[in-house]
Amino acid sequence: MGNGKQDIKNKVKESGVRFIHMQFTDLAGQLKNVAITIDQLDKALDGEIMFDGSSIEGFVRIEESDMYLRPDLDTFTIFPWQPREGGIARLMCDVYTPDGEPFEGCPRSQLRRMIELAGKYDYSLNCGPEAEFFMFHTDESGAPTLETHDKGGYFDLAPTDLGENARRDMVVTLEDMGFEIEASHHEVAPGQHEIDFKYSDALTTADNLATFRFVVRTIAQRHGLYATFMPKPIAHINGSGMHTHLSLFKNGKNIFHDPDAENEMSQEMIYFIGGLIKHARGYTAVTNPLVNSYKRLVPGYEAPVYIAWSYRNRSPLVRVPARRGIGTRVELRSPDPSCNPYLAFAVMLRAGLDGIENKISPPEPVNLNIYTMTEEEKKAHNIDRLPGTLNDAIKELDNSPLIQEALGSHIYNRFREGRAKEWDDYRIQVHEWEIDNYLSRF
Amino acid sequence: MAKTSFDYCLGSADSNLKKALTAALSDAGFHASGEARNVPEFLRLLRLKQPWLAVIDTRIPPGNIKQLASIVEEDNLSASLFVDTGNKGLSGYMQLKWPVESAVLAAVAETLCHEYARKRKLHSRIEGLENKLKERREIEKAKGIIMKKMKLDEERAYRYLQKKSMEQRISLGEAACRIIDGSS
Repeated sequence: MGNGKQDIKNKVKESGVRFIHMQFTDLAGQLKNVAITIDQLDKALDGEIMFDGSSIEGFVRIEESDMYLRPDLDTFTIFPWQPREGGIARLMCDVYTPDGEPFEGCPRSQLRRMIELAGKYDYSLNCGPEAEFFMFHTDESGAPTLETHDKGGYFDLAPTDLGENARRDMVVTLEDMGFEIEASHHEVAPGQHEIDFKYSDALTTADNLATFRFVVRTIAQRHGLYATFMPKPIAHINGSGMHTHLSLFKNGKNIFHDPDAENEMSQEMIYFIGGLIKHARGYTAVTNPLVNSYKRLVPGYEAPVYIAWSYRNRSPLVRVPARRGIGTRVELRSPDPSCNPYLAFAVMLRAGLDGIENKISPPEPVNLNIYTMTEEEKKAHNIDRLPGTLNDAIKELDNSPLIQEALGSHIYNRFREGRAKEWDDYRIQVHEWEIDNYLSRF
Repeated sequence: MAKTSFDYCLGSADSNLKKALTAALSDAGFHASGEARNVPEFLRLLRLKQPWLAVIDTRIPPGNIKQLASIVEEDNLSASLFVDTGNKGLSGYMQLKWPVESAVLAAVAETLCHEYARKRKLHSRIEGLENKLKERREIEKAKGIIMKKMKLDEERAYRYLQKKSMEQRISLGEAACRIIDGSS
């Protein structure tokens, strides 16, 4: 932490770095980069590297296309693989307009705005995501297939497959890049894996997630495999989620912990949960942005469907893990790893903060299995459900001024436009299921 | 020429080429450890079999031969010998223009394997030295912590660390790590 321009120049020189990737994400959370040689390093460190914003989906129109990349010097990282042409390093960047203002369509800058908002109360959000992914084989042309490389199960110990080796290599690579890996294991479904890294402040974690997805895909490819963060690649088996652990700190202390309160949960924590519950339908389009995201949010595969919270039960949207003290936190179980982490953390933070600002009490915790409840029982417990499709989620986003505010009007409009177009593309297709079920019957 | 004890994996989609290469390498005493028809499959094979040598047709599909070459080299997967069957996209790696005399193929393959053996030895030596260097840095750091915390001189701090290492039956480096982490 605390890199200055000269520190970076020294590191570049010492490590034989020849190329720098100036990275940022588009609205969909896809990592983009402008690659420069070290001859342009001074210019890059001064925030003078320019790119055409109109070429990035969801950014700007052609007539307002000049954008500048302003690097966050603390994010300087050297990629561990060393090509013959020379080492490669990356810098995460905020996007600025030619007037020197943060670009309102930059997801990273938008998360910063929400962090600043929380900063007014001296709050800082810590996030710890658990991103799951599948590894598949590719065909002769290099295109991904749905064929998995293993038949391993949850927490399988023996290195039975190539995926295990690839995952080990991912962990080593991430550690070389400064990640602190807390857990790495095979997941429930064949070919499914999870790597968890240590929580950090929201901005660092969002940067880490963007890097993480890039590293996982790169290493899988180097092993002849294909890694995907698609939420539900195969029907009828578990999908890939990104359970996110959240806690609020104030002056270095976790304010979710109150040793004198019931269950040692502070009033702020209760209200934060209240905000997450109240705005759940509004932020789901952001935390679960794909048509496919909603194929994961169905009963029976450990993904949440109902808007409720609980201490240990894993079926509701929000779970409170048993850990107390500095590790007191809430776990939001709906997000999936296809989301834009900057926008996802921005809406989670805004929803939770609204809970605290407006003293929103959540309903009573539900410690029963919601899937086995009747409709009447769910009604009696005040249990609503998450949107069932991307279309429903977009409508909910349209009805949520708070989540729109968390995105900012530019991002909200462009994000909404992109999501609605995706839904429409999907809606007018004739799917295989329809052919299988209707063609011969009608 | 004396027979070798090296094994190889073959990457090509051309069955005639594979047949000819397998015959030539088998005559020279190389053991076949598997073959693959495309780059992803070949990478999986190399990771699984860890052969001494990768013999690669430069026209192996889907065509990203340069990327394959750099992955094999950067990840130190094996020695690599490219059989140039017409792809012009590769330079800087050992290539033999096809067709090639069996004796030349065998001699080059064997030289590459010996070179790879030397490279592996060097790699493990460098790794050992890096670990020692890291351990020494940690010992120095831990010594500094002990000197400051317990107000000991350098020699006594070192002896304290040695004692911890013996008591806990762990290496000196591990004891230093525990002191740095604050767990000891």
